[in-house]
Amino acid sequence: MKKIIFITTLCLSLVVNLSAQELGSLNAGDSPYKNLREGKSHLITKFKIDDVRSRYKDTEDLLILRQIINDKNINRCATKVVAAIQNKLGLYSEEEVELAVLGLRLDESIDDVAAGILIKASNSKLSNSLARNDLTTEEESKAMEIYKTKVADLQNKNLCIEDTFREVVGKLAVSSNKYLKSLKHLNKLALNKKIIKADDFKVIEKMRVLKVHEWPLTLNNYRSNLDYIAKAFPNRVKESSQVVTDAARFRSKSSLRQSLHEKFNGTQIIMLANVVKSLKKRLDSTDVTIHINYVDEQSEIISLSPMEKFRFILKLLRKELATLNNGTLLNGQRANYIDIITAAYEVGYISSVEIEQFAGLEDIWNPKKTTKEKVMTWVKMFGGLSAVFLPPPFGFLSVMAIMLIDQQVSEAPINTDSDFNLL
Amino acid sequence: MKTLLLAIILLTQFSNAHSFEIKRRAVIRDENFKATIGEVLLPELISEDRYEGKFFKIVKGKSNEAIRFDDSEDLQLRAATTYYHLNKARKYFVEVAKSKYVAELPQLVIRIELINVFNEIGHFANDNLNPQFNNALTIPAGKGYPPKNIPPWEMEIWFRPSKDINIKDLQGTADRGSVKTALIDFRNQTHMTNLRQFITNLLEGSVTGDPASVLRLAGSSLLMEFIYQTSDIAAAFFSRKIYHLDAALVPEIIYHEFAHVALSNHLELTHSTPVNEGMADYFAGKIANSKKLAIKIKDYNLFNGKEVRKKQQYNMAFERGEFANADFVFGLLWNIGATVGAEVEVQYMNNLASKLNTNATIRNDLIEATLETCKSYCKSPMNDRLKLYKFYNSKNL
Repeated sequence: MKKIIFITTLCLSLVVNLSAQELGSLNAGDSPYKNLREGKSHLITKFKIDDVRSRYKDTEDLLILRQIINDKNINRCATKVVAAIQNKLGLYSEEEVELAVLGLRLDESIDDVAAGILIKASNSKLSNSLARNDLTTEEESKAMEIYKTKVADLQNKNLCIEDTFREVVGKLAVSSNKYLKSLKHLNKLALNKKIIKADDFKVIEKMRVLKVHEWPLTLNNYRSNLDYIAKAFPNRVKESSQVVTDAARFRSKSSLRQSLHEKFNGTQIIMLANVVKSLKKRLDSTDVTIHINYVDEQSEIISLSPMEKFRFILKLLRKELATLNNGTLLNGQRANYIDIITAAYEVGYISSVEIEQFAGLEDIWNPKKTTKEKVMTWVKMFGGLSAVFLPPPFGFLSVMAIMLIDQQVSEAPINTDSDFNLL
Repeated sequence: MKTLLLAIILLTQFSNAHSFEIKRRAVIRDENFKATIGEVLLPELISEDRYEGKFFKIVKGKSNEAIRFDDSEDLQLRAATTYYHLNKARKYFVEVAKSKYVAELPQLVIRIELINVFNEIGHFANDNLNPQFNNALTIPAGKGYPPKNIPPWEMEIWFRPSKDINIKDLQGTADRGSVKTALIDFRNQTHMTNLRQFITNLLEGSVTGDPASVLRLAGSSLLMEFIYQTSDIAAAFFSRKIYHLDAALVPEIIYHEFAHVALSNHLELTHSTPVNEGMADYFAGKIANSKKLAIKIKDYNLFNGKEVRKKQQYNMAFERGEFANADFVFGLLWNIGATVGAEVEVQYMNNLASKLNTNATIRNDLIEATLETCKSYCKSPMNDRLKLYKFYNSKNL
């Protein structure tokens, strides 16, 4: 008996040690959502920081959280991650889960974009709204057919329920916009018609309440973007930029970076960043010449002055952005000037030093001002259209802002008062 | 080995024996950029009774003998001032700008109280030909002319004697109270007027012969204005009625002229151009190392000075030699220095000079050189280059 107890104790301690080792060996940098491009979190406010620190800084719970976010079976699915946090840490209130997510953010195991998705997924408020129904019987039948195609996916525990639910809603939306207003009724109808089981009904109802179908970005989407960019740019170093993180600064719900990932996938982000890459490459060119080829005469070669070259490169930048926007590669999303800058920062073409310069130009995004006022502010701040001088350091903006002004005031050419500048 | 050590000790003693610690009265700047006369140590002297050092020999007029310590007080004040400040300027280029070219320069002959016009073949033009006053000049080396027994000469800096000019006799300047006011008026009113032309007009009627030949302006309008604003020793007798510039007593003019020498490996001394005058002004301002001067340059340069209402836009006419003393290039360079940052500024400018030549244009060569230099010397090359692009774009370049 003693032997059995001894062996059992030995085995248990071995298991505990192994699991403890596994827990301890995980670092913030191992996480697929590790903070690589953002500065301090705008989600951890001064009111929350003390709580987050006291609960999760260098604690055993943090090690458990790291283990959860590194678990590849669940870490592409926000609701699964939240469920694991609730189960393993014994947390049930929305506030406690949010604090745990912020603990991961403080640890830099995740960035604000991932944290934002997890916090959304932890929302436990239930809606008591009535199941609205203004669908015809025919429309209901059509919707149920769509539900039937996804029954297997709903029951497949290896899939992320968020993605499955978004696919169902996506299919419904393509079929008819009326379905989006009657989701509660349709879920209930699918249950009543025994298309889905009671458990699945609960799950998809939770997804509906969480408004998962309205999320601009799921954890899975975000992870795909991160992986794609990381594969293409494996040598990026960690940088901090408060500008790309701080949503409040721009009086918007999303930070610049979050907005970028919401609007574009990894390939598109790289395409946008390449606009800036071309700009930088062109600025490094030795010279720019224009060839005029005549029919019966020798060609004429005009060499541009350094500043003509600069303005020519700006025009090319504007043209390339317009071409991107007019094509199909962005899936109908319209990229603006800030998107290409944020994308260039995301992939590492622009350093945080350069992007931080945007901080001084808050007025550009100030929604209190009319577009005309904003444009006039830019016109005053940058010399492209006026002779008013802007002191340093607004380096990179010089290129972008002039282009932006040009975008906004398309009729106004650069350097109108010059009779000796070609461009 | 012992012999080598002995040789080193002997050499050290020998060199010590031939450097003299002699103090003399010279014009210096106080903290407020005011000129005062104070006693200074004359560095690197190799003579115990003359103004002759390892790097500079101060002579009077066409003489080749150094001025003696027992010459007149007035002459010695000029000799000591030029000697002291030239050594300061040289030290700046050797130690701060790390200029190998300056470190290897042979002893320079500095002529004060010289009124002769420079002649490329004969060294000195005939005494009777347009005597020169109120200015300074750096001349290129010459091969001499053996048939006339004119020996070759190295680069030299010439300081002209001062001469009072009564402003009340000036033509067309009745409304201008003084040269100082006139200079400020000049800067505020018209950016396209060449300073030399302006001063010449100012003095027209009070000078015999060709007024333009009387003045070669050792500095831009901005530098000249500061010199007068600070009630220099150079303008000790300056009043609302008298124009007077004793170039050998103005530290910044001395720095400006030495900067021409220091940059002469690329910016030849054959003629004045906006780029080489602007570069010389820039280094003069830096060697002066005066906070007050720096603030004044920052506030009053027409390129983007804070206090200047009508800021200067680039104009093609600035490329012409006659506008060499307009302060566009000076202001431009001063702002470029601030943009690239104090940590790299001097090395940046020194390298910039190596990419230029005397006939460099502002719009093409200077701008291109500043951008190219930035690739190697700026702390954040892309960022700083974009800042420079921004500057230039705002100035219609």
